[in-house]
Amino acid sequence: MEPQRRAASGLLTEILEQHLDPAYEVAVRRRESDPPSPRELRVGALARSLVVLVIGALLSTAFTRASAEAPEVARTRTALAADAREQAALTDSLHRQAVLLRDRLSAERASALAGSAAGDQAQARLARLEVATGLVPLGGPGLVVTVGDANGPPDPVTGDAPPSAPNDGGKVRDRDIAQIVNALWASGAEAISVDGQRLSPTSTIRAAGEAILVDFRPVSSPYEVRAIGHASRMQAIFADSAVARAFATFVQLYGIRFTVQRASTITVPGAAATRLRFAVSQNGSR
Amino acid sequence: MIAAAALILGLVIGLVLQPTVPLALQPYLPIAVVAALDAVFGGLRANLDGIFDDRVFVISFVSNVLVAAMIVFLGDQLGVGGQLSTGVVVVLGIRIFGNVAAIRRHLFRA
Repeated sequence: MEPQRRAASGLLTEILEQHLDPAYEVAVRRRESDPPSPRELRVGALARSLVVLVIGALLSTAFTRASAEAPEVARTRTALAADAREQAALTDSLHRQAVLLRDRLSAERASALAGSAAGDQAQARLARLEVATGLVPLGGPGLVVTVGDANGPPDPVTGDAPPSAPNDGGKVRDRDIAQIVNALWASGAEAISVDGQRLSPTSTIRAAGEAILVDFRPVSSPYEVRAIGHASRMQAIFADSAVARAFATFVQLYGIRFTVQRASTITVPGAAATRLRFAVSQNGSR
Repeated sequence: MIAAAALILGLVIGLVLQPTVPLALQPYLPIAVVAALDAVFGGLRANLDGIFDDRVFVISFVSNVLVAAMIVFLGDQLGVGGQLSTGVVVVLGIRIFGNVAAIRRHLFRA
């Protein structure tokens, strides 16, 4: 090879063709002209063994670290999931406690207000307001709308149908739930719950990642939307709504589950109380 | 053979003691492993070629590890650590491949 071409492509050629350290050949020539003494040989063997030992330790350390890292990820995930479940259980128990305390409060209030005409009036008004604001559990006739994710393509090995992929059209989104709820309100529903979460005037239905949150509590597919109201009229209006028609199409297109059932008695739980921190009544009385 | 015994001893030491790698040195561990493998396969090939030399082996290992670590460190400081690590791995990987191929030719004559 001419010197110039060699200089131009030297680096790459060297990388691709010169795999062995050239120093080994130099060392051979040096040994031929100047053979090492026995002491040098002993030191060399010792240094070589030491380096090989270090290399062995390095390899096994890297191996243990690499193999420890993978379960670490899984462990963190499990721990986070456990944390989430624990907190969910805690909020559940707090919610139950709140319901209990609220029952006790209304009972105490009823007994305190009973007896006087003004008290009876206030009690009746309170009861009306509590029903209107969704604080108390309600029952009555109504509709049960069930909507669920489509199953994904069946597993070729096991034949199981896994849940729908997150980006698939067959995944029910938060806005789907919100649209159904709005259509039910528009159909004349008087009280609605989603998966056992009563909707209050300030309730939210939103998404966090892939989860759907109703009032910041996760709900999961299939989603059961209960609406109390005039069942047959609600069903007629709801079935005629754009939302219901759209979902009938989604059932055919994506295979999601969507059923509307009339029920003679359904119940919805009470909603969590809305805490008003800034808003003040402008009516004077309350 | 002393070298094989030392290697196994080192492996056992690493597995038994499970030394904790300081956090600051952890990014260099994979690069050090690749550099060490390069030195090992280079030494092995030189041995089969009949030109192995203790001094060259020791110095090539130490300098390999140091230079690889330094390149990664510099890259980290310059914000191109990932790319430079890739470069080190590619260059050393090609050398490892070449040396292993030479070793294979020695052992199997193919």
